[in-house]
Amino acid sequence: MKLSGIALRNVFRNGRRSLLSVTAVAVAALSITLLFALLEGIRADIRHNAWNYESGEVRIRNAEFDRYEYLNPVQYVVPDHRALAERLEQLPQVAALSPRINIPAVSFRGERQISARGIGLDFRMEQEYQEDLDLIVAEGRLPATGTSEAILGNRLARELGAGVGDTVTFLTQTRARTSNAFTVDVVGLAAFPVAALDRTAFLLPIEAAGHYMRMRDAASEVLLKSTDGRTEVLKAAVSALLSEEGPEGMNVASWTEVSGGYSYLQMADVVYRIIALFFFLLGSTVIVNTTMMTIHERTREIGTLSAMGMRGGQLVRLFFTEATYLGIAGSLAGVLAGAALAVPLQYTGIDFGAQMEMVDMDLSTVLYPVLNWRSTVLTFFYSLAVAMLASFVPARRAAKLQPVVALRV
Amino acid sequence: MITVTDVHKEYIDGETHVRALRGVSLEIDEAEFLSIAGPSGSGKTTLLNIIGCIDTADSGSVEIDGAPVNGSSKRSLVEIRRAKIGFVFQNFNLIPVLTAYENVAMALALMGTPESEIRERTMKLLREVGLSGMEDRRPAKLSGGQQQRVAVARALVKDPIIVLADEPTANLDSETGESILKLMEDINRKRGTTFVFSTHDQMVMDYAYRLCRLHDGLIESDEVRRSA
Repeated sequence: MKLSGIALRNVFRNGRRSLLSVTAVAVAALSITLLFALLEGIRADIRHNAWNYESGEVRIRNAEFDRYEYLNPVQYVVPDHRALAERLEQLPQVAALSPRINIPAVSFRGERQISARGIGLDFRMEQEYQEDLDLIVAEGRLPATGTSEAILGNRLARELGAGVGDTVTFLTQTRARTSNAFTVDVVGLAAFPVAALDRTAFLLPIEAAGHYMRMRDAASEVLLKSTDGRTEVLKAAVSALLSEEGPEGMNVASWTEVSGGYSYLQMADVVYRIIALFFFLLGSTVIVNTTMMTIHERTREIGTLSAMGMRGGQLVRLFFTEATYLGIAGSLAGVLAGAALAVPLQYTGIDFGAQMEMVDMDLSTVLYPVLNWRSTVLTFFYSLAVAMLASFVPARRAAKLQPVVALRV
Repeated sequence: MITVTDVHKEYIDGETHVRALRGVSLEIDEAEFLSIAGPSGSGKTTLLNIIGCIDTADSGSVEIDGAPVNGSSKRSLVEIRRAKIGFVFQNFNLIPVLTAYENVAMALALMGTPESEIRERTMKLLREVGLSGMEDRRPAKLSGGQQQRVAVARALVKDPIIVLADEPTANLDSETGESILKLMEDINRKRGTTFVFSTHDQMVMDYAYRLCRLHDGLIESDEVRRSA
């Protein structure tokens, strides 16, 4: 009879207690699996939103705009964006690009001033840049190229009291820093994933935006996505192209440098790992307790085995193996249950709705956890390792028991 | 074979110092059937534990097979117990998750005996103690007498030079107790294995060929009762 066999039988000796230990480890592993799936979902969501609505994977802007961004200096532009786009498209690292004109705008409803942000897009290029662009259309349609049509964020439309078929007039500041008013025909309402965009954004054709802002051929910025996710390689290629062929004075930045969401992710990653550690520690206390109770109950047995000539190391291995079995069962059950919960949520999402309304970050109101197999497998091994380590100290204490003392119990 | 010379042992029980052995000397030869008798607290279990290398003397010496065990490392004591000493306990002390066969086989497995030899020796011994057909039963499915037979088989299977039995009949009715004693006596005669009992049971004393009486940690009398 091998020690592993004895340990396995011992696991079933007090079924209820073993079940309790397995459950504790399982709950910890389940929570961590879900937590990591949610973190992975947040990671994907922040990246998706940052790439589509904030910074792109790589962004070209006028360096002076970046420098004085807090003043919203719309006069600092990316000149001749069409010619630049043609040259950028030749780069093998570029999968898609999106020149944009940002319009700081206000509208008035009675005495109320409503702030808004217009985004002028080349809808032909945008369909390539955002493959799921059509998904934002909640009502109506996307604006047609060469028109003064616009699609408004749902909340913005509500604030403005506008619907499909209405017209809305906005006041803005042009590139020449003069005021201008323009009127758009509302052809659609958009459900932007990010609450802040839903509250403020409207999309319109880039030609119309350029006209309203008196931009001539310039754009506010050009956003780019790479073919293979190698952001730094794309950034280097774009920088090289700009330094060789111009225009001069441009700033090329990767999303990791400028996205607020990315910084949040870095922080969340650390925070979630600390939370995970606490979950593991919590689960491990049950294993420590179980092992200690087991050893207390089997003190005489330890004495007998020791009297028979079982070495301390073998005794440690016996209890260690028992804890390992409990750890394997708990970790496996927890990870599988976590995966079983996370996979459907991957499709249905978790609607944080109202809680996200006031969050000033590019985080969607509906978050879709993403089960990352690597972190799930790691969670299994982490919880197993914690369960095993938790049993080590009491098992060592058992091995140090004097047989004469143990037999006296 | 085993020589105990002027062994002292003192325990501290709370604030009380208990002098369990106060200079015990004893020689145990091969194939002896010896009973160490005495009232509770006389030091008989302590003496048995020291001979069995699960406890150590404060002073004096113990030699097993001519080799002194005083001052031996913990590891060496484990090796001596594993190879040379068999134990039979008052409460049988079988491992409840193991079958009768496995309980006996374990003593050999700990010595690293090959599997085929373990099977042969274990089955032979279980037959010898009258447990044929009960190999696969766990202790909970065996009577007290049967459990003690398993314990005897477990103690004997590794061919120890000595079997130490601490109150082996204390948890058995007199009939079963006697059958266990007969079994051990038979084995003693057939195999020449040395048995040392600690007891205050008159029946065990009557069975012993040599009776050593302990009182307050000292040997009061040492007499050969009958010859083999």
